Order: sequence, then structure tokens, then C-alpha cells
Amino acid sequence: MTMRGSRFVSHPADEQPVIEGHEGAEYYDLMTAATRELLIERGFLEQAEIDAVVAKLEAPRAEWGALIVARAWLDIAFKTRLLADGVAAAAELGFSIKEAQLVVVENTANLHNLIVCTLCSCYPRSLLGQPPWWYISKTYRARAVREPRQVLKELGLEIPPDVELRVHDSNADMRYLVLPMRPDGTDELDEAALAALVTRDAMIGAALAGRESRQALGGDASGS
Amino acid sequence: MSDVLRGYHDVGGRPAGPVERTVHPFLPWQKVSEAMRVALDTKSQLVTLDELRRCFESFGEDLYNTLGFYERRAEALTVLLDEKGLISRADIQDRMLAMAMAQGISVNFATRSIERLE
Repeated sequence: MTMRGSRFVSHPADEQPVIEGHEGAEYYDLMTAATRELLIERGFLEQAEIDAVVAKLEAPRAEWGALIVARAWLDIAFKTRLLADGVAAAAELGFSIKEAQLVVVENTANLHNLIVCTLCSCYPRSLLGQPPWWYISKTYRARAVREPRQVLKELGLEIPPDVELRVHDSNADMRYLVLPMRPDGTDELDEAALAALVTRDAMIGAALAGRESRQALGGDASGS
Repeated sequence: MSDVLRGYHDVGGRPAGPVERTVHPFLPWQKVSEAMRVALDTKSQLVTLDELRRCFESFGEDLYNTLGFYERRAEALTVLLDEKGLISRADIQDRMLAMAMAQGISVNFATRSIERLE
């Protein structure tokens, strides 16, 4: 598939709308430009090496994770392998996750999973791309472990009181992916159509899979 | 939990305001800053992610709280390059001044801001 084959192709037109901004960012823009010039002049890096990493940063996208979810919905043996070893199962579909282990947690009718990184902003970037801005915000990092139901409500998702809510705190060596529940009424859909129901937020646990939840959560400037 | 043993970056469970839903583009300088750090790591292990985190988790609470996510990382990168004797902070600041002059802007290092010259 072209998506997997184009792992190192950058998508410069796709400004992923997810990174924390700051009024005074011009200072760091300038500092980064100065640092880049000096690193190259002194032989620590070449421009091509920087460009290659930028392309790797730009390539991953939530649609890659959605394909893994859709496959797991359709193939019970794959799902079993995915829950046992996320990195190995992702590799079966051509996705290379090198930065950490990938722990996949499954939502059920009685259990909902939510992902956070309280210390930093750990996230399976090499699979899903950049996290949403709220994910790296201090308010989410602080509150998701203390009052997750309220936080989810603010993000547009209400978890019924009788459903257990489990919050997973990521770290440098362990990243998480939520395997959302397959929506009802999707028996006729093929893998690509199923994958289209899986949003980035659903794989964090901040939304459910399916068109309705996609609209309810919003906050995704890609407009999808 | 004792705050004596708790770093300022360890915010899990602390009180905080509503989850902000604003969105921002992934700016070119943010990508370049991150890419330089990764390239230095993979090429020669000169700057690892663990070192970068240690740096911005210890460079002071005020700085941590006033900088955005990528600003913290960009700041930490220059601190590490200086610590390791690879590129001094003075050299980076000198280069920033030279580049600013060429662009018709001025740099305020105390406030970490850029001012446009009239």
C-alpha cells in the first residue's frame, strides 16, 4: 500500500494542528535557525540528515493506527497478537515502531481505556503522528489521572457510571494504543471502510469509533 | 506525595483548569528543532532524549511553566550543546544577533522575545 510504502515521504502541506503554540515563539524560531547553522558549520550534522528526520516526523498519521484497529476487528487471530505485542503486530502490517513498546488496550462494553502521559507527552508518534494539542497540555496531563470522567466530558465523551474507566500513564519506554469497540451496524463494511471510522481521538480513548463520535468530539482542524 | 521529591514536570493529579481545545500548526522551526535532536542522537549519540528531558525537567520551574512544549525542548537542546562543549551559548546568541540584524529585528535574551525594529 502506498501509505506504508511512503513512510519517509513528507507531507509538507499537512500542518498537523496539534502542537502547543506560544506568543513569543519567534525567539525560538531564531534560536533554532542559529543552532542549525552552527551544527552544520561545525560538522555535527548535515542539512540532508535534518531533512530526513523532518520527513519521518511528518509521515506518520492516525490513519495508520486506524488500519491496525480495522484489521483487529476483522481478524481475531491478529487481534490476539496485537494485544500480546503491539510492536510485532504493527510490523506485520508494515509499520515500524522503534521508540518504545506499544501496549494495546481493548475497550469493551464494561471497560473504557484512556491514555495520558503525565510526565511529558509520550505518544506513539511513529505510528499516529503528533498528538492533539490538548494531549500535551498541562491541564490534560494533570487532570486525566485525577478526574478522567470529567475530563472526557469536557472533550465531548460521557462514560456511563457503570462502565469501568482505566487510565494508562505512558512513559519513555511504553506507549499505548486504545483498541476501540467496533460500532454496531458495521458488519457489511470492509477493512478500509472500517478504518475510516477510527479517529486519532478514539485511539487515545477520548472518543468512540464511528461517525457520530467523530463529530461530537471536534477539535481536529484537519476537518475529518 | 511529598513535593520535596516531586519534580515540577510531574503534574499528574495536580489541580488544573479546563482542558484547552485550541489547536496550533506544527511549525517548521519546531520540526527542525526536533529533527536536529533526533539526528544528533541517531548519528552520534551526542544528545539523547533522556538527556533532553533531564535538562528541561531541571532547568527551573519558571522556565518550564512559561515555555511551550517545543520551546522547552529547543531551550534544553542549546543548554545541552553548551554543557557538552559542542556549541557554547555565547556562540548561539552571537549567531542569533547576526541573523536578527540581517532580518531587521532585535533579540531580547532576558525576556526571550523578538522585537521588530521600526
